[in-house]
Amino acid sequence: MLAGHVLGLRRSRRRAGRAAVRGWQEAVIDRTFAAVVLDWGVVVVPDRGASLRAVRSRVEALCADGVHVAVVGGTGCADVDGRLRVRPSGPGRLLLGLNRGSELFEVKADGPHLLRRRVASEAEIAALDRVSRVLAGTLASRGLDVRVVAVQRDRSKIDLVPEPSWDCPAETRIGELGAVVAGGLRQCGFTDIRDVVRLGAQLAAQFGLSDARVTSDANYVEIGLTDSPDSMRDILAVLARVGIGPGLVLAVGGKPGSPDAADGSGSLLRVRQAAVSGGDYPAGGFADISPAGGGLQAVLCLLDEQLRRCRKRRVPSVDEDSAWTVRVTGADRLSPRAEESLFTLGAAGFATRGSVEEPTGQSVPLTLAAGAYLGSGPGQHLLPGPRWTGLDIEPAPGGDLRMLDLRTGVLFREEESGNGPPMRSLRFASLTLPGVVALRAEASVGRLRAGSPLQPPHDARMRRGRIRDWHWARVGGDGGPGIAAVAWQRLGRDGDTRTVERVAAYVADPRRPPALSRAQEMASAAGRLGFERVLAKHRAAWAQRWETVDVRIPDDPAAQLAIRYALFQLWCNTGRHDELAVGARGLSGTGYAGHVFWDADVFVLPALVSIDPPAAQAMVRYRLRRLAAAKARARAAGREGARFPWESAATGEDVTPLSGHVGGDMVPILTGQQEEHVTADVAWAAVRCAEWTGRSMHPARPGCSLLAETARYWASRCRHDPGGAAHIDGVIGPDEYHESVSDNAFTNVMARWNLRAAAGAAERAGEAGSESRGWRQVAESMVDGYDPVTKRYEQFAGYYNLEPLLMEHVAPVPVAADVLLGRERIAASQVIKQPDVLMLHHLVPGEVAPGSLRPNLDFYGPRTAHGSSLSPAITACLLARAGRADEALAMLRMALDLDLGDLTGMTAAGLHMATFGGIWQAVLAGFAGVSVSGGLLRVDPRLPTSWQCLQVRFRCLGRRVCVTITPEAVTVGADGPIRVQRAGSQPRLVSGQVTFGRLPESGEMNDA
Amino acid sequence: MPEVLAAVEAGQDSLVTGVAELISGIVQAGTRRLDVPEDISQEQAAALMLRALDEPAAVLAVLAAHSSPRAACWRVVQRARKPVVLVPPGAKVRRPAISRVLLPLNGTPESAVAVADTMGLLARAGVDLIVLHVFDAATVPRFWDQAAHAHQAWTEEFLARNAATAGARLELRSGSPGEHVVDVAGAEEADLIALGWSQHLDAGRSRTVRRSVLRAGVPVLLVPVRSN
Repeated sequence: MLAGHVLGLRRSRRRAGRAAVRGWQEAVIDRTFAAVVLDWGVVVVPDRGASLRAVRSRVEALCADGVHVAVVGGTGCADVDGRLRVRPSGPGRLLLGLNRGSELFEVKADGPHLLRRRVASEAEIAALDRVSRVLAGTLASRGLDVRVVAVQRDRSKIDLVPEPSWDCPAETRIGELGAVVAGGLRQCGFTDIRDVVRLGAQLAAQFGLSDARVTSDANYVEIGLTDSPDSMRDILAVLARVGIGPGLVLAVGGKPGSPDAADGSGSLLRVRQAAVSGGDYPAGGFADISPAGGGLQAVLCLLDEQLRRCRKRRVPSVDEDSAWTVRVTGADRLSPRAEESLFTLGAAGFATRGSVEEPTGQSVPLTLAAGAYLGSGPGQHLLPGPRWTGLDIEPAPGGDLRMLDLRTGVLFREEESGNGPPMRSLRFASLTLPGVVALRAEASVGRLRAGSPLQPPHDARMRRGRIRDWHWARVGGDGGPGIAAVAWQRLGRDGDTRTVERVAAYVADPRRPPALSRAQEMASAAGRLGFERVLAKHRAAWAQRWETVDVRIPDDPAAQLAIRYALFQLWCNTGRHDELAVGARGLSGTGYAGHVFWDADVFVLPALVSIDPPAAQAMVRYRLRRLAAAKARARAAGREGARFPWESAATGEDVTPLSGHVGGDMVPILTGQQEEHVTADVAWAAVRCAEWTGRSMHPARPGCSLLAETARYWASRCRHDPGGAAHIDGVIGPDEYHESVSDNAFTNVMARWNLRAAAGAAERAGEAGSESRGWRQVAESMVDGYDPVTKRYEQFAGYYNLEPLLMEHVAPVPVAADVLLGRERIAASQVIKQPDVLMLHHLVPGEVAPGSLRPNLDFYGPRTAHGSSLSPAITACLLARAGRADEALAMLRMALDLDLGDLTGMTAAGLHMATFGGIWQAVLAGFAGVSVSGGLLRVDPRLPTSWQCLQVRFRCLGRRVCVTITPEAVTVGADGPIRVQRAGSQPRLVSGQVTFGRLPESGEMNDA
Repeated sequence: MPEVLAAVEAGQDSLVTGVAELISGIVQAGTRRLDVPEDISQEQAAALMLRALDEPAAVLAVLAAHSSPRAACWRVVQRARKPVVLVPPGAKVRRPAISRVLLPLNGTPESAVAVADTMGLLARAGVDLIVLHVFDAATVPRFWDQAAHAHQAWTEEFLARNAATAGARLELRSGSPGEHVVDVAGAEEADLIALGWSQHLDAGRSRTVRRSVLRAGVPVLLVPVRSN
């Protein structure tokens, strides 16, 4: 999308020019930018000797207000800095992109500092010389009088009109000069100067300068190693590292950056450009840009405009990059409540739904805190906190654009129709100040009123008050969890526009009213920094986050964006590093009451450990701190060890409801009693976390006690038949269509893994004894339903005797088959809800028979209804591992659309965290084939046909890793030494980066 | 003044007029009786009723339902531009006023829009609204995660999208919509069933309409999807 706004101004008298520019600004550049780039040529034109005091003061003021400024020019630092003499005090930075893109400086309080210099090699210098001589010779042979002018070591120039009368012409004669050049060229058979430029580019490539910059001026053709767009690219790269994308940059000058999109410079197209040079400034190669006027005066007006917008607290802009933004307009709305879920923002264990600011009957505004549960038993639910996003806007906005910028973690809204200043808002949950949230909003005066910054949650009591300029509010407490918030807000006015700036700080405690003083400290800290700096730090933190963890799929931008969305919401709905309870819907809604299922241990944690390892450890800590409750539960059932609940909340007791509905039919809920595999899942997650982070399961570590206690449970849970085989009766596996089954393969094999893992941990610690030997014996005797002839696992005892119903005879998948046909009908058939046996191949491939993935996929795949939202992503992972990557991609797309397309019809109640975790696992473990065990990173990719390149960045073994996969090669890079093994090769210690050739894909990942 | 048209055929006097008066109370309109002569054809009878219904003052019509597909009532409901209440033979209104109404919705925006005004009207009149949604092959959800929780999430969202009127409750069933409309109407002791429909008697939903009209034993309000 060509996002540049190129504006032309006619030259006019100074006063009229100012008025014209002001009107133009108000009408068109109604944006608040984070950075301004000035063309040095415009700044010093028309009078190169004039004082730049006016520019200097504005640049210093912008930097002081946090706006970054850059200057791009063809001359050197001595000239530019010598005249500009800005010494910024920050926080905004001043960058100088000089010498036609060959140098980049940053100016600090003590002067310029060189950041980068492009130095030509001797070979390049020789090549430049040859190109210019051959080009000049060619032109001369066609009758043109030219002269080679070598200006710098990294470029050469050819003067097409080497006459003294045309040396340093005045700006007013540039047009005349251009006509002379054009006439001369036509006489020699050239169409215009662009022919000469093309010839120069061909010669440059011929002489080994494939990346040469060949440009033209009025009467020069220049061949160089860099050019002005290179300055812009360098500047954009610096800004990108602090979260400022091209769409947040205003470029002010006579020659905007190149509009061509070569070399990935498409980012230049999103820079907002204002051409304000005066006179007949040649358009160069940019035929669609009109020469403009206004000159330095227009520059000063633009800078003043941005200063004013900063100081009037206008809503900042957003970089509308389609690779990073989730947009909803009036034309493509989901239900408003589903949209609220999609636009959830969060950090540090707090999250806020993306409800619109004004009250509507449809809205469910909500702020939740991880781990703060209210109530008891199955009725426990997350405590809703004070609301901070409400505003009074009358009339309410009609059509609007809402945009979630994943790269910088902000939610932007802009009214698309109506009279007067449009309503806008921007909000974020600070990544650098835990618990701090902020918003700015604007609309026409009389239409926008702030109201109270903290409002009560729906159907809940809230205490509130004021302390001077601060508002405070508290919910809960009284012997239970509490959430408190402190907020301040400022109302302002900028002409006809009312502005509101609001900052709130949240604290929560799962057991008692939290101290307001902590919230006030955070709010004060935010206040001292100011909104702009808090936002700047937040943007920079998100940029750093995406630098460490990301996915790039150039051939599939839609999937790339949706995967980034999954990562984004995993971060937003977790974020605590002390103890972390991740409910099925995270903190994005009331659905599932915040209860914690195996979703967290098996679907979310494996993803989280690769994107935020401390958060994954906090998830394990949540389970560890409820080990006592799990042991009590085991005792109550007459068992030993620890038995974790199917649904968990505040205390670790079982909070599974006793009844529910399948469709409209009320049914008893047996999962609380029977879905016991969760005990092994919890142990598995603790081991996975340890393995992935490179920490061993040392006996001194609490995770080891969890492993031992869960093993004890399984040992006591089994029934031994007269032949000594161990059975587990009366359970429900992941496939919840079949209840009260015996020897569910998943449960039994996970129990076996649990027993072996605990025994192994004890043995490695030198604590092997009768108990650990007993665990091994039970494990060895565990029935698993495996048939070596068919290589299939029978899902549970008697499964093969059920009606062999295939989904192709029922309905297209995914479908809630139990709702469609009734529970009894489905329970009597082989139709299953989601992968059950196949989950073993995903979680514990070492526990299943080699070569058994495909036979079980072939058998159970056609029988799977995928009636669980957990199913599509994990199935994608399994299919990829089985070498069926194209089928896997189709399943992945279903998972990607689950919330973004509201496939469940229930996204309104919250986002599906397990699906997001499954998506990242499908990409990382499925397609990229990444696995970690024994301190070794293994890579065994399986790419779909349509993906020619997949790059994943993630964390493992204490490193930041980047894996890039193409049809020809696999490249692994890390920020420190790491042991890496490409499938089929030997492990090796890698420092930096290593590239492996791709091997033909064959076999299953399990076939070692 | 708005009017409820009571189209009375021979032998249907008290049934049709009685229902018309009850409906009038809800829509705050008067009633106007239209006597349909016995000695005209079904087509002529339908034309007579449609002409009367097209008059500006008429807000809806109440007619007797007949099982014969060639009966005038079916011609009227297929062509009417306004809502029509069909009163089956022997229909019973259990209470002195219409106080409980069953609204089957298939979850499509069209059916919700069709009965939205009717729902609002009924809610303002203090009527107990029961929305019925039947899962069949066309409407079954793709996912139903945990039986302990999915129902609440699904129900809340369905009502918010389709029946945002405060106070409506949702009944869910699986199977044949037509059968369940009749069953639920009986179980809930509904006084009236309100259905939005496409006016095509050959379409799938028409089975629900015919079954509801002929078997539910209570009057059925048919709201054309295009109707305001």
